[in-house]
Amino acid sequence: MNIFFHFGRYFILIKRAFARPEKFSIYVDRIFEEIYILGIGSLGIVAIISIFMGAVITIQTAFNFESPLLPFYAVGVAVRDSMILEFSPAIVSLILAGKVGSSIASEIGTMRVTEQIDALEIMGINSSGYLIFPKIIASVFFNPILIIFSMFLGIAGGYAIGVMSGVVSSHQFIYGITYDFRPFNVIYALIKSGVFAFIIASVPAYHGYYTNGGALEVGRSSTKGVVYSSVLILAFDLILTKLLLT
Amino acid sequence: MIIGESGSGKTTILKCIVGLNDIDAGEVLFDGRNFYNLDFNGKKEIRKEIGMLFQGGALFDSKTVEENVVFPISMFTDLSVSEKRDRANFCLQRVNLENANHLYPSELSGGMKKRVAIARAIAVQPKYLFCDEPNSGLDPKTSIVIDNLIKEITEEYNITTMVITHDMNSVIEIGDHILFIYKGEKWWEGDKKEILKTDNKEVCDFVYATKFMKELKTKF
Repeated sequence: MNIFFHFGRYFILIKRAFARPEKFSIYVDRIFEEIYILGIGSLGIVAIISIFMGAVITIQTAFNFESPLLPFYAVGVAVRDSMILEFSPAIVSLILAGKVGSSIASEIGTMRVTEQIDALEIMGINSSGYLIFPKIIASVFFNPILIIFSMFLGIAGGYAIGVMSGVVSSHQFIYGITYDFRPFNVIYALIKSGVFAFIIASVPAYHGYYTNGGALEVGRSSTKGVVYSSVLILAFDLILTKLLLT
Repeated sequence: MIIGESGSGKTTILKCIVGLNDIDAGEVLFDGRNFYNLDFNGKKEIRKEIGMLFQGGALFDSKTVEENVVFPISMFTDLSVSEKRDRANFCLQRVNLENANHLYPSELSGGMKKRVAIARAIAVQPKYLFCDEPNSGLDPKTSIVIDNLIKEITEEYNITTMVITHDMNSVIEIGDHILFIYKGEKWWEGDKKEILKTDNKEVCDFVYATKFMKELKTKF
């Protein structure tokens, strides 16, 4: 029963969040504000994680190439496909669920317990629309950009460590990343990142919005938001992979 | 003015009146309009006529004092940026808060927060002002300043103001029509002269709870 209650309440909240805005220009400003906070503010962490992921995949793949029959350019292929298909969309989204999700849940949760959301409602403002809608739009718009950025940096990180450590030559790596490239893989990754972005923004927002109590509950909402959004990302990763790649 | 002990249901009543809590029975009328019979847009229209002063101020942390006051004006009017700023400055001056426009709520004292909240509440010229324990957490001198401000604004803008409090100083200072709530029910109703003379046990226990009030009662 509990799960149905939460599902129902979540969908009602999302429906209300997408209701017609009171003043469109203010919502547009809010979307840009959120793009800056949630998107631009995540560039650093996404860059660091992507470079290291690409580097580690390169070294691990090269280390496991024991057969002389396997060409070394396959390192480039493995790095490209790993980054595009899984690491950039899924792992970076999980990291963002932690960073952005906890920030969204605690921001909205604090606003709830300090009566700021009540203040919005009293003013006749749709609080869910004003607070949640811009975060979802900003996330769904900007996360795919972050994911593309992550793909490039991951592959660049792999190239840099591969060439510097001598496990693969520059020519072999570049040949590898261009070998049998399928543009659909990028579209698949962008579809996944769009769905994950919706989860990253909406699930923690739901937990923050329905926070009851004080500071302790804000912390709990933040944790719940991150845990549930991470689990949903993994579940939708499987579902979308099954639907789009098989 | 609604008074009563802590936990008697004062804030719950207020939240029911403004629509933050749903009601189980009864009706809430705003100039004859039954709030709970209205659809979402109808309720929104009534809420635009409401100003509310929350117990903790409920100022938006991420906005400066000026932005807090400008916010409802921006939402519901088409004034230019300079007109909005002028209106916000007028409201801030009205609550005797100048040169604080660029401060954030975290940089304000309790009394200043309440004054900003009042300025925000009157920014769009409400018809009804609801105040939830406006003096909680304030020193006696600042409490009087806030009480007088609420009274002046009520008279100046000709609005209906409802104050929730358990502070007898406020009751005596600005109380007009007083409602005593006891265990979630309306227990007593009257004005401030009547409340000092009533022989209702629960009301007397509340009004004369302090030594000072007891001594005052025996003197007069």
